[in-house]
Amino acid sequence: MEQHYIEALKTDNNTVIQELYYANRITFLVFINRYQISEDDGIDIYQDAFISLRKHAISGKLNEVQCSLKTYLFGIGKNLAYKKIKENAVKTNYDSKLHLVELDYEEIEVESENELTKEQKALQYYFKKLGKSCQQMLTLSFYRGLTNEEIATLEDYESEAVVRSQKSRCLKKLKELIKNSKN
Amino acid sequence: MINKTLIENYFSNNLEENEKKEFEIEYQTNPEFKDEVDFLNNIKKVTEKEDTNQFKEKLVSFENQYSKKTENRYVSWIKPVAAIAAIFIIAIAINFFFQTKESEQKLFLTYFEPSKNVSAPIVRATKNENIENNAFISYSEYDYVKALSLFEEAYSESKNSELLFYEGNALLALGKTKEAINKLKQHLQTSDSLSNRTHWYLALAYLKNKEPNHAKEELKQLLASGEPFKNKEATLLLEKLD
Repeated sequence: MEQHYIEALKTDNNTVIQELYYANRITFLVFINRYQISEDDGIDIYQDAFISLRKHAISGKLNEVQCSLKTYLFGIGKNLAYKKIKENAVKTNYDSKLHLVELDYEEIEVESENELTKEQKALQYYFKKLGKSCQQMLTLSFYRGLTNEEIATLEDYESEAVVRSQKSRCLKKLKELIKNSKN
Repeated sequence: MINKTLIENYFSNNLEENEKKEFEIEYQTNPEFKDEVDFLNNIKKVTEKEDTNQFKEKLVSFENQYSKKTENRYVSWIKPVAAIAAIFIIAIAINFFFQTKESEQKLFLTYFEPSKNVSAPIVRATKNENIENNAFISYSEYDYVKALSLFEEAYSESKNSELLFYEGNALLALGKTKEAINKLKQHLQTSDSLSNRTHWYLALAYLKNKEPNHAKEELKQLLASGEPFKNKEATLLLEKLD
């Protein structure tokens, strides 16, 4: 897969992501239209597919993928469209023929989003009390999995040592917030 | 005592094989290490949730910008100083426009699919660095941005008029409707084996551009040409537009 797109998704390169979003939008909606899904639902599916694509870029899954980004995105779209058809089938008569539409894309399985546990929800509350720069630091370190060097380059820190100490301060602050709430 | 480097490498997916084992052992045997990793894993979950929500908002703003771009073209001529009677007429016109907008858009989405490559078999994994071949490879991989620039380059060299047909299709797939119309019209000024097919794509481009009468003209020309390509679809679409 195109490495520069994976990097853009991991580092939130707005220009490239926006370009990708617009470049694939119409053909994706045309593709989804075959499943007799409304245009509004089609746009929702397109956005959900983009979110899953980004998650797979961040988790490193896309590094193993051989096909193009577009083929992968449409494969996710196919999976989400099937889920939508099943969801709609609860309300109306299920048309099994829709599952037989001949298509060029291999379906890409998308995992459902897990709800946060009670403990994680409490942590989320204190996380939101941190300043924006700490929130960004912890997001880049733990969710996006960037190294200290990568964060230094992306966020214009002087060195990876500065990132390391800043991250440590943010974690300390978060632990203090939690500790103080218990006292 | 906690090995912080080990934890950092774990979260950035950079653990070597021997470090993976070391990590496992530490996690199983060192409670302080385990607590720290569990805490950071919870932060990972929380930041994933927050980060994904922000990304969702970003996509919604892209979508809003996209809608605005297409709507602005149609409402910019409405001046607030218009006379009451004129406003009344305009209101009816806008009402009509919005009623037809959705169905034209829907018809376009129903019928449009970029043409397959019916001109040149592409050659992969060889030393073939021919621009036209590369253009068709990008086109078949749905990379229309890249395909478009390669088709343009190939056309300026070879003047192969069929390339205009694919340029028009790529533009239409990218949502550049007016440019697609111009390109397809340019193709119709030449004559090749794809000329009749161009009427179909030009009709869809006009439909997308809210010009149903022009779309009907193109469909009639396609049917009159005796071209079997999209014959049934063109007949159906023409009925829907009448």
